[in-house]
Amino acid sequence: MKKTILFLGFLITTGSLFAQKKTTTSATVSFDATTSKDALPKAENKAVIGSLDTQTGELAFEAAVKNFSFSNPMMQDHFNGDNWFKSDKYPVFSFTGKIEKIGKVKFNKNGSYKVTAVGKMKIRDISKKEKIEGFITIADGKIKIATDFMLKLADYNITGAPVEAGKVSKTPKVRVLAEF
Amino acid sequence: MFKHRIFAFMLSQPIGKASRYIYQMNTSEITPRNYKWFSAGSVAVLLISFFLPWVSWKDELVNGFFMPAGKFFSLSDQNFGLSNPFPQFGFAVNIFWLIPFLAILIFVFIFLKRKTIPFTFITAALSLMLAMIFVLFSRTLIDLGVGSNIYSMLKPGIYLHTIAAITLILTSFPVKKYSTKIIWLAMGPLLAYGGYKIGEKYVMSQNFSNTETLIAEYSVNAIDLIREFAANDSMANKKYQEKIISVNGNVSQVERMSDSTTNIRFDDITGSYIIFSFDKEHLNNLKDIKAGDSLSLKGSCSGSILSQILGTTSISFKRSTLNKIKQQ
Repeated sequence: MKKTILFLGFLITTGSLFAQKKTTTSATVSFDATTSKDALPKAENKAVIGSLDTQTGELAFEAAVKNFSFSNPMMQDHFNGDNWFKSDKYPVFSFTGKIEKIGKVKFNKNGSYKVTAVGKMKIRDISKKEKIEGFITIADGKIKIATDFMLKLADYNITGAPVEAGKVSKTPKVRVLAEF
Repeated sequence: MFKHRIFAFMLSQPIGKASRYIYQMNTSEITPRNYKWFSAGSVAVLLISFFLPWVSWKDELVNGFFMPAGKFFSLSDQNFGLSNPFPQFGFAVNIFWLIPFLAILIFVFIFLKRKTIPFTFITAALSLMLAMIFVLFSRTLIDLGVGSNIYSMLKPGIYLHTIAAITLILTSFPVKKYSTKIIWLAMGPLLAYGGYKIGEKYVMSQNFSNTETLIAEYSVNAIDLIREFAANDSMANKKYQEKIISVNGNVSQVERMSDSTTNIRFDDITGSYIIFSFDKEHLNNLKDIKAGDSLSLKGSCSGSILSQILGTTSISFKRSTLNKIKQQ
């Protein structure tokens, strides 16, 4: 009995040490749709869930739409409203994909690598294939992922007067930072 | 021909006392007596249309009298989250009760053959001001996703009311100078536009209040809150979302990010968790917090999501602040 418990304990310990799937609940997604006409549509969500499988390169993120924090209350209402992200109906932005050629990343030593992730972005229940370039940095055992990309709002049926009037960028800048 | 005469009658004005009631074009049929009928008709349409639908906000029909009755902003707030930007001046909407009140008065005065100026000008200017407010406010609602364009939102009531108000000013008697009538025509819409733009600028320059200064609407235990969301997430989201909540519990995890921001988590045994995000100005207050500490945190609840990645419920809070450290 003791041997069984010891064996199970060994399995759990080694399993967690060499786990390939890393997760975080504190990734950051910044959203910047500012234009020369309006500096307000800008927000950040610092409690984004992310996972990275260092073996297969599988990468996933989930962000609660309502947790994007704006400085201006009206702008936050617009962001969550029916014309934008309809957060009551579609509460999550998600990305599920794979980092290409993950084998070239040496997770056991410090270094920085330019990588490309290909996967599906899901916004307002519309899934679209996206190819996103970014960096993986390994520093003292920590894995950091950073990427900047443009999101085409029209791809997710986000239009309306503020977008057409140039108050909201048609292609907001999105920045993702995650540490595993 | 008759239309031309009416138009000339409305726009052309006598240039001297001698021609006070005589018009330069062939306006022999258009006497002050006819004039009264135009005013009487206009004021009747103005009064009736005040109680007809002016705009449609999704399925909600909004009548002119909704504004003085206090239903205009309450409806917009309840259904679309857009409230009166200056609630402290909410009493000012009562001025629009003058529209039906003065309309009835003008009607009576016309039949008593008494002077209706300045009541006609005041009534019509208020009507045009109100119509302009309806248009501008509806355009703001379009930005929030209520309707696609302003023309599809406008209902016959607002057109009738606007035409009646313009006619009332143009047919006011005793006849005033053309420039006076133009001023009264422009006054209401310009005041409404100016006031609205000031209000809009004020709203867009507003920032969220510092959470430290806000009183929590609910104070709950962390594990109880997770249970409440697990039991019925839609009801819990409705109850807590975008409200300031105090959450008390034992810290499960503290994450300090490289940009000096901090996240603090309360977990239950199933792995579901509550996460509070703190801006970098809180770094100093939070520097000694560690897992196991008993804390009270306050923030704006963003509600819950069921994570497909973790297979657990995540309840997140933004604009967080440290309420107090219960024990170290």
